[in-house]
Amino acid sequence: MEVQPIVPFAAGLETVLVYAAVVGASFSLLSVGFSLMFGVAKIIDFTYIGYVVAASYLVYTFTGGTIVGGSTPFGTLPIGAALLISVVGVLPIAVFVERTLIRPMIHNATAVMMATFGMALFIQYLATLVWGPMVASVVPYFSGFITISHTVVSVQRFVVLPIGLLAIFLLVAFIAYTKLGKSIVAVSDDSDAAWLVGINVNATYTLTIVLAAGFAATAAVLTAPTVGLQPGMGWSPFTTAFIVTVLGGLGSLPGAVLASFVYAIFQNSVSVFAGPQWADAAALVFLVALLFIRPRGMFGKRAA
Amino acid sequence: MILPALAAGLGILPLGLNPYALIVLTFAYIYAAAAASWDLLAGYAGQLSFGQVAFFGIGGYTVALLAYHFPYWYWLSNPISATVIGILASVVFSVFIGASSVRMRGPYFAAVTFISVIVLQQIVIIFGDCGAQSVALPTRFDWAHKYCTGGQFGLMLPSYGAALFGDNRLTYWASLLYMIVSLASMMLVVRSRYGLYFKCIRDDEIAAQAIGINLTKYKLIAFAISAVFCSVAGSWYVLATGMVNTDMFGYGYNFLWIEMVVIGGMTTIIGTIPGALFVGIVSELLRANAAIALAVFAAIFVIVVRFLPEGILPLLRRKIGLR
Repeated sequence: MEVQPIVPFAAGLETVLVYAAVVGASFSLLSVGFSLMFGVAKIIDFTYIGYVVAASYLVYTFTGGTIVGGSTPFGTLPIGAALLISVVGVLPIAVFVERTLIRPMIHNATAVMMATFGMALFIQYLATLVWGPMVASVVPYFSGFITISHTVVSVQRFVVLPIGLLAIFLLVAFIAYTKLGKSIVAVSDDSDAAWLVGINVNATYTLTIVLAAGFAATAAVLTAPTVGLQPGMGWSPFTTAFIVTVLGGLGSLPGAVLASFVYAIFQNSVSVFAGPQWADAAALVFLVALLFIRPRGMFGKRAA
Repeated sequence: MILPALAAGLGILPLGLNPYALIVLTFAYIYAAAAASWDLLAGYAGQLSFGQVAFFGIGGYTVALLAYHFPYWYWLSNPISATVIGILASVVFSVFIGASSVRMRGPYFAAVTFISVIVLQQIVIIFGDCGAQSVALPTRFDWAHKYCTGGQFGLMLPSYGAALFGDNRLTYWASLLYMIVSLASMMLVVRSRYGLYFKCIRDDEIAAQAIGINLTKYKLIAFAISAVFCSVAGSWYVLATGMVNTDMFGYGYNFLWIEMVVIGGMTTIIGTIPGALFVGIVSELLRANAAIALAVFAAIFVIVVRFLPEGILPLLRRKIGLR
């Protein structure tokens, strides 16, 4: 996925670390939302796959991409507007999914998984219809390179790091210091008790899922120029988000952030030493080992 | 039982239909058998695995690869031995999945199964590219070219497919027979003691353990049985069509089967017949644009899961007044 085989083999540990930092930032953006959602609502929302796909294709469209049958009437928007619209555009999907699919069946995890799985596939097939199955490229927003202690990184790739960290910092602050944020923590601890003290649990679920979708969309639009867009591009990010969430521990945002950097180092090493096509296989091995050995993850509060 | 009447009805069809429709229905039957194996696992044993297609692929690729690479060792590569070997391989893989199910709770297990399928697909692609220098493998793996899998584009097996059975009609009847035997066997399993244990595990694992059912053993058995039927479906698919490609490990099939089961009715093995027929007919009606068909299926799937979790068959049953 975002792990690109650009790192030269002989580059050494330092390059791996620099790239891992950049990739780790995008992983954390991808995963904090998922971790929040999984920790709060206790369900897996497979539509997460769809948010990534939708956001990526939206930003593609607004930066001059084409759809099947010609070009869109939107033309090319200024970068800031394109990014903003793409991220915001995904949110209504999240609200719709939450209202119609998740909330009514929230006590039946199986049905939620199946319904959202179907939803993710629907979005993917819709993308195939509208944008075609071929790989599409998004025009990079930034050009040029920066050098970090002998390692050259393109600005486009690097920019995820400061933006991502800022976004996560804001999220953590929001959760720790605002009333809404604290209500999220309350619902994740014990939704019945939260309801008893007057917290609107349903609204909290909606908020959590919207946040998750927003962060996934942000990660997707920031990394879109560095990956080829395909309708099936959402599965890898989902895998990453899931593994990072489990590794970091359910219910722990700092854990998710830390885990994303750890996982990024792992993925980058696999990429460099074995080749990028082994990334998913390595991911599976990693996940299975994790779930067999320490399902709680690094900072998990309860048994998985 | 409805099955004999259905069989007779479906059996007469070839006399009136064009060969193309026969092919569509043949596929539908194979998918029905595969989907039924998922129903056995999910509807009866309660294990929601998104990895069913792995067994299908393993069964199919075993038959294909053995026939492609070892045609001279006929004792190994003939359809029957190859299918059996495919079954063995699938059962081994099912142990992995079963062990995961025992060790992990629902969502984690579902995620592991679904990532497994993605990984298997990639592995097949990595070892692919027969006849060309594979870009994906480092040179130290060159020996693997001898055992290439055909990569993304798959392999064609001229000795299988319509050639194996004679013509489209015979393939159709053979597949219909296969589906009936497969479904009947699954129904036998499900009505046996094993089926009872599976249902107990599905309904309440802790209570099942409390009355002495060995969870690990019966879960593994459920996965193994499901794997056997699905693997045979995959092998049959290759035998009947003469082609194999990485779609056999794709989540597209997985999703179609789940859809067939959900539409036809979970926990009713024969529900997959109407489910498969529905999917087959709709996908033919929308043949002009395959992507539309898939989007429609996804939409139908979401709607059915949301509003009719039991599926269509039980609904119809109640309306007609049976049972």
